[in-house]
Amino acid sequence: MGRVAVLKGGSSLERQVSLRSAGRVEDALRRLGHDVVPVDVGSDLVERLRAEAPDAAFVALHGVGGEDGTVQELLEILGIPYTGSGVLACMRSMDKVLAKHLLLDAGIPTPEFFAFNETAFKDLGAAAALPAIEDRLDFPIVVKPAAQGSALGIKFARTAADVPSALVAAFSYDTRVLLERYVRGRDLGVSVLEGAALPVVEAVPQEEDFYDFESRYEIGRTTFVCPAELPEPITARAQALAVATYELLGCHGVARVDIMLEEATSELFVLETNVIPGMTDTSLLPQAAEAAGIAFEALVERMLELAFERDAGRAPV
Amino acid sequence: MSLERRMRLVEIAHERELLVLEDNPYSLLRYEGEPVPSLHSLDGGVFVMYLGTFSKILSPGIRLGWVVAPPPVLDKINQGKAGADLCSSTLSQLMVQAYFSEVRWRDYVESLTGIYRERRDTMLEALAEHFPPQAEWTRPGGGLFIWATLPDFIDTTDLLARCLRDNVAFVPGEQAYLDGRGRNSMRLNFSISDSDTIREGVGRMGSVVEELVSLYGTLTGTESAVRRPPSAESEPAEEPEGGQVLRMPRRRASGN
Repeated sequence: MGRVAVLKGGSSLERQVSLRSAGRVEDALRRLGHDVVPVDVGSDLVERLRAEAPDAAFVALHGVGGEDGTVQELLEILGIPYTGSGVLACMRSMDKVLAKHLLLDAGIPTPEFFAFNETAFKDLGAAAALPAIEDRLDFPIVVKPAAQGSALGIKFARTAADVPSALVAAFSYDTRVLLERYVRGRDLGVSVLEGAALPVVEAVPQEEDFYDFESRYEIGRTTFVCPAELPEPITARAQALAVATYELLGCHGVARVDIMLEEATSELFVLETNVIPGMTDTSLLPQAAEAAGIAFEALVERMLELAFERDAGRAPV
Repeated sequence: MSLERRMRLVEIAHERELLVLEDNPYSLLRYEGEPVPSLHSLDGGVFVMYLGTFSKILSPGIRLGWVVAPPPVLDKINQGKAGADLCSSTLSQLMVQAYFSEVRWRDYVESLTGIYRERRDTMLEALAEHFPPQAEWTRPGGGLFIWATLPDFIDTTDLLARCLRDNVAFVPGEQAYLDGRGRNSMRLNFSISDSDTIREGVGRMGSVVEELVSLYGTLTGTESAVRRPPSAESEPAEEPEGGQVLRMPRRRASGN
């Protein structure tokens, strides 16, 4: 039993999702007998953590600030053990371009892509390279901001005419964007706990032709199948890819690796890794854990224990 | 909503025996032109229920309003309200009753409309100064909002994410529709901020929009936006007809 600060909210665009994740985590921690200190992350974060002096921090933040290593760096400085991955794994995962380059180098399949920053377009005439990219990737193309959780700012370009407005949208979120080959097929989420894969969850969108931000978090708009109904070798391969990605990025505790199963080829492609998977009632990690026989409380407790274990394994500063 | 559309709506309600809930918080905030008759008055209170609020003409914190509805509906509303919160504070209700019976409340509403009219005008001027020529917006004769429409390659939900980094916000137009329209529109509130803040906020949004228009120009090889010539700022506004909210067409996007 200990005093646990639950870090939530903040000013990220995924604030609402974070509050929902945190609400469930706080309830679970209380049921487990912990002294819970809810902290809505803001400019007084360091002051509050100093004043509250928690034994550990449960990081339930999503998106920029919480998931990109910023808060983790502060927790390192304050010497507070925290759940989930460390600074470097957060940075690697949040930056989709960096993560995809690492995947390529490690031989883990990820859809072909090209990345640009604003300077390339504004000052280096990158627009002239667009037709060549479009030829290489084939339509439809997915255009994404490099650093953003969830599906915010992700656009589909069905034809070359859609690309400029999709880029304008993506640049609204980040100064770097990537254009990625669209893999048509099934959307799989593979959660990893302590380096071991949990059962695969398949997200089946109900109406939209794209898994958009809202449908991802609204009950009823996406159906989740867990464990996903897949041939055994594909399940095993998806889990192996998820674990390999988790290890490659240096994740700790939990992560969720999003993978596409291409309809035409039955090949698997790693899209991205989420180092702070959602803990809401529609989130994939809790569903996967439950399918593996790990109840929500047990999952929360284990995540917390792993935070202490990592801390204990370090040399004192 | 124009008078014609209001009349048609009431007609449909009568034809099909549909109940219409008219939520009308802004009608007393009128800056120019004659107010459009409420749906309730057009219908005579048969199918239209009317909701009013003191939040815009007295104080938002009061959390009191009124309902005009046929007795059987009113009865159900009372039951629902009792189920939700038993009863709104009696003390607040008595205070509001005293205020409206003893104070010259219309003078206060008039002073409010004076303030809001000035803020609306400030926002209209700021839009003319800072928004690109491809943008267009309404000149509302009442209420608290301007509806602006940007070139169709700008999705205002994404634009909001970018504008939040500069600490300025609006409501993306998509939220005003159920069918995905309004993606390049935005609802701008002019009542809450003072004139300097409005100028600053519109200026910040304008810079972001300009940046995106120019990026789009680079991507498509079309010319980037030129700033509206200063002479356009003082264009005389057309008188709104019948008090309806008029659209003030600006130069349209070239379609590129």
